[in-house]
Amino acid sequence: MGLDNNGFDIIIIGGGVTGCAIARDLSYYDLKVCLLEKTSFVCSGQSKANGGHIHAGFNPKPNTLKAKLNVEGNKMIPDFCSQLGVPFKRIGSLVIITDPADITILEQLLERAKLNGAPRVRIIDKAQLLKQEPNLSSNVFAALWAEDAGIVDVFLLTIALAESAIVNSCKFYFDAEVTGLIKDDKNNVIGVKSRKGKFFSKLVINCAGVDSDKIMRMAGLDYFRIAPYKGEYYVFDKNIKGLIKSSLYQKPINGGKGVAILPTIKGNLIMGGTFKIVSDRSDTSTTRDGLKEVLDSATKVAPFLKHHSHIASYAGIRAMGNTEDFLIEKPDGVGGLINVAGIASPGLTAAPAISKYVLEIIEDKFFKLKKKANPVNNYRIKPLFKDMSEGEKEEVFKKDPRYGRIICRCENVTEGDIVNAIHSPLPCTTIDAIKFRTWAGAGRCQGGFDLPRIIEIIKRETGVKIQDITKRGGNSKIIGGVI
Amino acid sequence: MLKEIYDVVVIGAGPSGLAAAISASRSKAKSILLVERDKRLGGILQQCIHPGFGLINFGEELTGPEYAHRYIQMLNNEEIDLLLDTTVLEIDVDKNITLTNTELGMIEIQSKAIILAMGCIERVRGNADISGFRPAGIFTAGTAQRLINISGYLPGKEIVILGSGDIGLIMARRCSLEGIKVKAVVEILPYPSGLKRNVVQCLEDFKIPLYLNHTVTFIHGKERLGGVTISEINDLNEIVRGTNKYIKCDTLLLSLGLIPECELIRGLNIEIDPKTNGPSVDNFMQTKIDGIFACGNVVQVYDLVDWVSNGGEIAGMGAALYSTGMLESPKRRVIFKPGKNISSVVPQVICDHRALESQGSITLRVEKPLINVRIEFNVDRKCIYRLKKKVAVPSEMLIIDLIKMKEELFNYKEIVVDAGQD
Amino acid sequence: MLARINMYKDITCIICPISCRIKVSFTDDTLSNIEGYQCKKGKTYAMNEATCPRRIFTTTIRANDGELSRVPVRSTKPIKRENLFKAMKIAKNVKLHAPVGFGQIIIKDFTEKGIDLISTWEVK
Repeated sequence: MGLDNNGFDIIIIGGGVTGCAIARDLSYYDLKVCLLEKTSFVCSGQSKANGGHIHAGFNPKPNTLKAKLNVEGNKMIPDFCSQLGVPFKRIGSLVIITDPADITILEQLLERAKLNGAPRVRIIDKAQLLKQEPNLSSNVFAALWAEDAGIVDVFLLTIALAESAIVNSCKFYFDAEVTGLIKDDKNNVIGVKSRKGKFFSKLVINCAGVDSDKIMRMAGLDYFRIAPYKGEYYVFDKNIKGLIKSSLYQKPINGGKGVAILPTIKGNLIMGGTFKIVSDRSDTSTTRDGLKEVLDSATKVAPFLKHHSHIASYAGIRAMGNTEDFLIEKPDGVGGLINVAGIASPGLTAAPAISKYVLEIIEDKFFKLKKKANPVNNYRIKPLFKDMSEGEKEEVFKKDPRYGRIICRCENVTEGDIVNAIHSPLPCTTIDAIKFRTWAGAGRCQGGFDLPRIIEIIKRETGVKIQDITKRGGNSKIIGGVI
Repeated sequence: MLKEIYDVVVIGAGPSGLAAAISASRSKAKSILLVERDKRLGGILQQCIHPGFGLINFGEELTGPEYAHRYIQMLNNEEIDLLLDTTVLEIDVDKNITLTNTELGMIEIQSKAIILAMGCIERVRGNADISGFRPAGIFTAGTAQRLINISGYLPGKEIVILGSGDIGLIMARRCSLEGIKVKAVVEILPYPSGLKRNVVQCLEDFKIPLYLNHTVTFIHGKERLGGVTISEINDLNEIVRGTNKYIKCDTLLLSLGLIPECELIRGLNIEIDPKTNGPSVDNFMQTKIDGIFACGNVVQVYDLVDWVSNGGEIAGMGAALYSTGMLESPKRRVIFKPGKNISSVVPQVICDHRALESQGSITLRVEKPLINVRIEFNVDRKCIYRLKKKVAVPSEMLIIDLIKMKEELFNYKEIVVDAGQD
Repeated sequence: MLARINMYKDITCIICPISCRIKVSFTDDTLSNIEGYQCKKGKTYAMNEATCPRRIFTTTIRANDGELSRVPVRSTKPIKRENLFKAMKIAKNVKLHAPVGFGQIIIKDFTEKGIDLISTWEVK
């Protein structure tokens, strides 16, 4: 403890929702904790492509860690979110079939729900289904209805978790890809080598998502492999709000969950994903075939989608482990390391439960956790101006009149919101970070109107040169030159 | 001092809003407020520094800013309240308007008549589903134009432009003059979609290659754009085998077309014409909601700014009359619908009242280039009016005067406009 | 004595949507024939375009100490097309300070006598 500037008790590798949830929980204890993130911001890997769906718990195989932590997480999520000031809504989910023969699939999922302890899951018939979702096509046959499913803004949640950790003295390092582990002669991991230098620790927690097997191999552990499965998605404009009330899934195929239609808590609709293994883990490109596949499948049950405009499409890589379950363990024979690997779906749902589980492993196998003397309890992320109460708005506007100027017209984001994001405990200084935090640029014009204004605000507030402002760090510079 | 209730509130101070406010004042509306989200008047004209404006209204070829200046001078001669750097957040059917700026915060005012003049937004990458990565270096043409002309920033060093509409062509020229290498303009149609004059003065002048029947099928580069793959597309929207071509570039400009900015009227149940993506209007530019008028690019995308201002002028007149209770209900009305080879007709409704004197014409666009064109007004397949033209192209709006057939028009409830080729 | 040199240019007229293709022929650098036009305007356009094409020049110039960082400018009359990039160079070397009036002459006799470079906006 406190060896030198780079001496920590715990190093967390990976700033996705998993790593940030663990960072936040650990930050309440009397420990020096840091989180190393490969990219320039949190929520940039698998978490970024997440649709924000909170699963009920009928998908995972029974008696797996996935199943246990899914159901537990689902129960913890509402309080988890409200403590952080992050909106969450239970809208339920449906797994829809069009072929009567597929009723056996729904029955299997219902059985799983019972075994996994996921409450309030039942099969509904066509009449009930169309009553709930009147805009579906008439060729639907039945569905599995799970009332406890919900939606959350994964970006906001991850940022809130990170900020909660940061205000409790957890240090976040970005552009800090881990390139190797440092071990002592007893095969204990005592630190990491990274692009930001060496960091030393008593314990390293591997939350590296798609690269979690890479980190394990650095420790000499070869039994775990990630198969990168790409998923492509469409995002629809908000004018589609209300046409679908719950999250819609179709028949699960090939280990995936079928093409889903997911309302988001911001009012958009996400449609996707494909499920295709790729050779390059960083290949988050969308393809003509992939998008066509998604559209063909989704419009079978929701034909109205054909007539609506999508505003964006994206792809993400899932960290599918070869064990088909979450791998959360202290590995045999290697000290100073906990693997939290292969956290693909339902990783977001399980996040609070995973973090709790990891802390139990730490207490059980590493050291006792002692609470901090004066932690910052109940850190809540500052809401956007448009989501504040009338009283809050008045107060905030009095202190900073820039909350009166709209920068992003499509999403009603004010200059005050953007300035606040730039100066947050987790500073948002790239275009994408500001987008994740405020939703500026995520609307119909996709930043066409606000981009020129946002770069001036970043320049003014941070002193950075215009040519150095990036989309998401690294070489992703926005401006090519100044006249 | 800002009033609580106005006779007319105009939302947007671009060429349509400016003309509307001036006209409302000249038509004796007692109190007028012009609200503009930018810090200056002029709207999009501020960044359209090239010539091509005003040939009809002023008999001169002006640049965008010069055209705006003319209207701003006229505005200064009228008694019109101005709110700059102010965004309208919401309007309701009772014409309550919620707006916000840094001085007043969020406030609500009321108006007897509202004129919507918000212009349009550009189509984005997602609308065209261009596959590939999502690097920095992709801009819509209008955003790039603002960056270069207003901010003084160059979007990149080597660009490809997708879309040969006027904005894309104008940017091809602008970028070339600023020393940016324009490697190609790519167009999915078999013909350029902008004006011929721009094809000559923006592409041919600078020897920029134009690829017709092509589109961008993949975007390369994970952090900053590295290049694009373009491919030939057939009639079934499929890639023609063997036509993939990689063009190295660090910037992609998208000129995919414009859509009316209708955010404010979504909640209002104003009928949106799926052909124009803007609100349906009558010949006083009034929408289906009494007292709410719309003009300029928010109604339909125009090609000449002169028509934009003229539409604004009519809306201003209509709003002023409405606000003083002098806009009588029309005795008769006829609906115009786009038929064969016609992509849109505006106004969608022609009313038989004094509006016919100021706007006794309709504007229409053909769906594809036609020669020896026959434009027909058909009622139940019977032709009641025919007009012949040598050539009609989608990029140039046609204007048909209805005054001569005024009396006959109102014998019908609905007229379908068709275009055929002889 | 040199042999007569014949050359022609294909001009696409931009006056109206018909876009006539007008062939302008030269003999020893003198215009000798013009065909393909359907109106006087087109003929004039093609003649000018083939012998000495001209373009209105527009760009922006930095305005120091102004409320706007750049002011749009134009040539008062079309300049020779071949001078477009030269015009850009000249414009880039201008040091302009706010205030700039609308229509203010920035450079007199810009690329040739009788044509000025003027501002098309006001910068306070």
